[in-house]
Amino acid sequence: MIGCVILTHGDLCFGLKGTLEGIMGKQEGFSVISNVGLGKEELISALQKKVEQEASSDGVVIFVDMFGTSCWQTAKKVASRMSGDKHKTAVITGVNLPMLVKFFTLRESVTLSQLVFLVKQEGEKGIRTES
Amino acid sequence: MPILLYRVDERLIHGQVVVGWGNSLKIDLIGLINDQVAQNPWERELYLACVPPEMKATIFSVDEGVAKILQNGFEGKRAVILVDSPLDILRMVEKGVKINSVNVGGVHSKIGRKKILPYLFLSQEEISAFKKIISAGIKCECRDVPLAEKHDLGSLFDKLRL
Repeated sequence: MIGCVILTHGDLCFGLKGTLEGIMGKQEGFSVISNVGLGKEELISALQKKVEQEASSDGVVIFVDMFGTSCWQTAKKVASRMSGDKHKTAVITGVNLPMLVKFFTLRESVTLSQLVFLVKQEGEKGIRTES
Repeated sequence: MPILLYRVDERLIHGQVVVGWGNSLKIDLIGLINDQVAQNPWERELYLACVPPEMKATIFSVDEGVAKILQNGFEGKRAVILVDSPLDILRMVEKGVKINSVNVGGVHSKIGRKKILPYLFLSQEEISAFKKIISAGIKCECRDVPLAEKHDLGSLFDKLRL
């Protein structure tokens, strides 16, 4: 089962976890972490701990809210340290609710790289404009 | 045009800088001055990926950055200089860079650092560096994002008896 860690600015990660579990029920292998109150090195080690905790032989995904931010930099640093077969780690930015629903629906039936592709596609598909 | 802002921010290029200060100062060039980032290709790439398309960023070691500033290399640009520590500001000042004021942004918690503001935690070494900067006549103003309240760092040190 592919693990999941969400890292965001502020309280967003807690809201995402609560809302997702409100829809899909409580999920195993799922942690969240906020950047609030943590220094650069502290955030790296706190994220690494969560990622190690949720990683499995199928891999782990770190979701972050926004590309190009300190959360994203932190996720990239941790992912680069986690390399090796045992802890295949992917980083996905721009996390939203449709992506998470897709992730938890499919994470036991596809590989990490398939899941990353499908989650990204779902996130993009969820953005529509009506006028 | 002189450099618009010298900023101390442990996170270097990130949201508060490119969105907050970027929009309010209409920044078109970021000079990131940091010895460690300058010599690490992976970190250079990481920070450059965080620069939005309307801006450019260049990464320098402290010596390269000082040389560039002293040659007026940022002339004609709306430039900000980013460093992650007051120690680097002090090194730049000692190497002859003229700075009127320093914007103090996020320096976050870490073992051995004291809390000054919610986004500012400093070690004794960092406090001493800021004190030297202040005694050189440079105003150190804490403000993480442009619309936040300003705090004079020297007055905060006095108030906290640091």
